[in-house]
Amino acid sequence: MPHTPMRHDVAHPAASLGNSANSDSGSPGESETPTGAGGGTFLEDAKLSFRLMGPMMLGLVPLGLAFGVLVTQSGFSWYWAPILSCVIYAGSMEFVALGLITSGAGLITGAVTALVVNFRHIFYGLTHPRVSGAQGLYAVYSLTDEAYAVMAGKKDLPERVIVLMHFLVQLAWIVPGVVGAVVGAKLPADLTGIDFVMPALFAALATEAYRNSGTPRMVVLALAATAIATALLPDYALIVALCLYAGIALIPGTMGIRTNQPVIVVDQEPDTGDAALGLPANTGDSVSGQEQA
Amino acid sequence: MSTVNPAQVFEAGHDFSVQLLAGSEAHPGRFGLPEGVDFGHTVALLAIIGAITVGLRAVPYVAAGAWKDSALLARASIVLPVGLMSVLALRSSLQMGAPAAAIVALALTIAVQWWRRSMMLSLVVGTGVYMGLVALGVG
Repeated sequence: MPHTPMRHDVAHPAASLGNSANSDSGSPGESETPTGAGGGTFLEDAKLSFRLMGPMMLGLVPLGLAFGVLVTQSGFSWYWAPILSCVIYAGSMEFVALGLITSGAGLITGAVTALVVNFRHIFYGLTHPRVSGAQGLYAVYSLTDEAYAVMAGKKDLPERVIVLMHFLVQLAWIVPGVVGAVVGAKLPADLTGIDFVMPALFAALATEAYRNSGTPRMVVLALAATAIATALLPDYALIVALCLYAGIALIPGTMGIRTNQPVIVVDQEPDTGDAALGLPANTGDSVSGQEQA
Repeated sequence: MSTVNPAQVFEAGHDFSVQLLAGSEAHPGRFGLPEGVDFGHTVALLAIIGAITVGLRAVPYVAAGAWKDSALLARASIVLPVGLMSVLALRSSLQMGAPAAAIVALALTIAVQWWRRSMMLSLVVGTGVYMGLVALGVG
């Protein structure tokens, strides 16, 4: 499979919509270049943010609901859902954190797991539009897969639009989380096995990661490392397996890869904006022939 | 002859603790956490995970340039996602209450994801199948 640098899979329709929408709002510059720091009134910026982020927000709702249900089904009060989503604020890591907390995992296990699960975030800031000042701190904190997917490379978005878009993503994650948590508390408490969402989430992420940059050797090594670590050191199996994998796979020439270019993939994002969600075709007015890197 | 029957005392205490347990089973325990989960430890765990998450996101802003051309990081971006997610998927499946059922559901989740590329569909099918297998008594 081709290894395209800086590749991201989703939100191209939304991205091109952003360009056209922004050039409508009276930018004196070239039509393909969105206006810079200027922006519009707050209301205009809010509308633009919502248009750009809307499809992604819809895609987040079911996952947020599932997370909320899992929170109360795991024995937490509902308010731990928004607490987790503010302190950690990284979807898949929040699912993992639930498991870590209930299983009484140690701090080192938590740290290593966080490093591993969220490692991909280290690349996002390279191509994400930047925001200055105190708002910039929020923008860095809230630089999730979803925010990155929609905005990567769009350096000319007004800063306030960027921040608003980040905020909308967080809103679309936290509110369904709370709803799911409150509903989950009312559901019968014998939903045995609902915690399989976590392995399922990892399996889906692994599948997408394989599609983007995987080779069979990587899978074999990962499975072998897990099996060996589980057999030898069950108490520390996760960390041992992860280190074993990274230690071997990072040696050049071991994994049969065909590129040295960094591959940046948003592997969190579900089927946002495509037909599977049954969205109205309001993203269909993408500017034809306008190329994105 | 003693007026206090030790067995009665024990029973009374037992009843009391049973009541306490029943009460705490109906609702989450202290600080809204599950039974037996320590509040301080939970806070520390969340703080560390949150700090690492933000720290990773901040790296390109703090340390521009230098690491951008790192061959190691480029390689890491290629080899780590697949492997690490695979390790996490298999390991967390093996830790489920019914590992055999989990492996079956895991394979199905991957198949559905490969076929339809819809995260939500994969999660629903995978989790649903696991819950069904557990309900049927598959270990």
